[in-house]
Amino acid sequence: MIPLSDHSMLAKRVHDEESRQSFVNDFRVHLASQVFPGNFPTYYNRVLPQFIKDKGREPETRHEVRRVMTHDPYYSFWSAMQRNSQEMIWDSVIDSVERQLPELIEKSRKPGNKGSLTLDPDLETPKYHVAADIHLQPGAYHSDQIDDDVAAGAMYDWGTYIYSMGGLGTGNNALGQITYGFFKNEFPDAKPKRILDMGCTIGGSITYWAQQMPDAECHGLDVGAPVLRYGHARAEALGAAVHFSQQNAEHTNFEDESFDIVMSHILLHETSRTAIQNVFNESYRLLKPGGVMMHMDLPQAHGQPPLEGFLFEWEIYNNNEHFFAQLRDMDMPELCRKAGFKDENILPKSAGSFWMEDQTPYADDGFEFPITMAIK
Amino acid sequence: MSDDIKITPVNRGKRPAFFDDPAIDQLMAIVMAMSAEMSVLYDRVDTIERLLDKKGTLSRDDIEAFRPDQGVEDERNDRRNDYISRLFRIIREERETLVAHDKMDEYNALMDELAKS
Repeated sequence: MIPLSDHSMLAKRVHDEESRQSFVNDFRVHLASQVFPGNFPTYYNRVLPQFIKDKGREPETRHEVRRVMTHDPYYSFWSAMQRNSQEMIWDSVIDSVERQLPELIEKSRKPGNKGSLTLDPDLETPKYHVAADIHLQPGAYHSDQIDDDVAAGAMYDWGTYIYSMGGLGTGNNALGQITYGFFKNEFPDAKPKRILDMGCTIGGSITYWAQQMPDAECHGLDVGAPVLRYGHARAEALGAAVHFSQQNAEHTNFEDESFDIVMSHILLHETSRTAIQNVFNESYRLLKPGGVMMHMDLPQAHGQPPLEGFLFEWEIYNNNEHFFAQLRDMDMPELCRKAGFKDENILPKSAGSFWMEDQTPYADDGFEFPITMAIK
Repeated sequence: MSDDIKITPVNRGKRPAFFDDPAIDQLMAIVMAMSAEMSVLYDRVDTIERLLDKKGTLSRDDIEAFRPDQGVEDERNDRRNDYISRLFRIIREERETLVAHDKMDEYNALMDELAKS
């Protein structure tokens, strides 16, 4: 495992913790490269012929595939291992964070003064966030167990890196690299003055943007206090000026028409049917005329064959990504129209790891993220 | 002090069941955890061997302070990959059996038959 680039907020690992994380990483690589692909012959050799025998036709939807594949022993075994690997990620990062928590909190209390941190203890954490711990991270991104807690952020930093098997880049900022490269390609001459990243967690993406555009005023918001405290201290440790605030992306306290860019990185699938429209409405309200909205998320179901569509949805049912089930079929341009964007300014796009500066071994598989882009 | 801080290691949300008997799901988690710990132990032995090779003696602090450089980590990666492959030999065999006994012909014949009817 290639370790994350060090910074002063990153939890240090003792010998066995480092070794344990390396195992989880290598185990996940093995699952992805050696075990997961077996689902295809399993389907075509065993599950599909049985389905045809029973029904006289092929499955028409991914839901039909799910009903039969989830009973197949090979799929079930892979699935059980995959779920365990996800829980083992958190188990492998918890000890080092727990041990260093007082020290990390102390550091986060005097982080530096390039950017800022504004918390709102009265902010209600939305139901879609508290119903289940997203990605199985114990306590999710919002739970404070002690004063000025940063544990959720510290766990998230290592945890997401292991989750992506290094695919997020050694700076843990691949998604920001992708949107930044994409934006520069779409608008080579643009000089955005004010940029907002919604649902920024520890600010991996917006901190990267701030490093690339030091003259722009960069903001990151999230509902979780511990990830924001950590994110602020992390950004300062990396020498980047980012203004973090604890807010819900559905309704923020920023002024109308005050941003040149409003964006998010895989936030939408962690919201709800009502919330997603609110996020688009809010994006429209916050953008200056001519400003750009970019919401990057995971691929939708349109055009995916039933088996691929089903396999792609594993995390919905096994990794607490519940709203993704609905997002898969939603009409993104319609959300933009309802928010106020004109038809001709709604531009669905996609962007992949080819925009990254530091390609990692697992980033070059051609994976592309759809970006719902619209210009006000 | 840090001794007082315990991060609750449990995640919230419904736990999916992959097998008919919940005990198999639990056993699976135990086997996976043991696999990880055995790998950790192997790395620790590797550290001890390397330190002994180099210095002929060692202390606990030497072990804790040891960090694999990229060369050592690459060797450990290879060893872990072999270890994981051995651990999951049975899964690989099933996968290979499925490919070897390709029922695609049977499936295609069935599709042809259905198309005709």
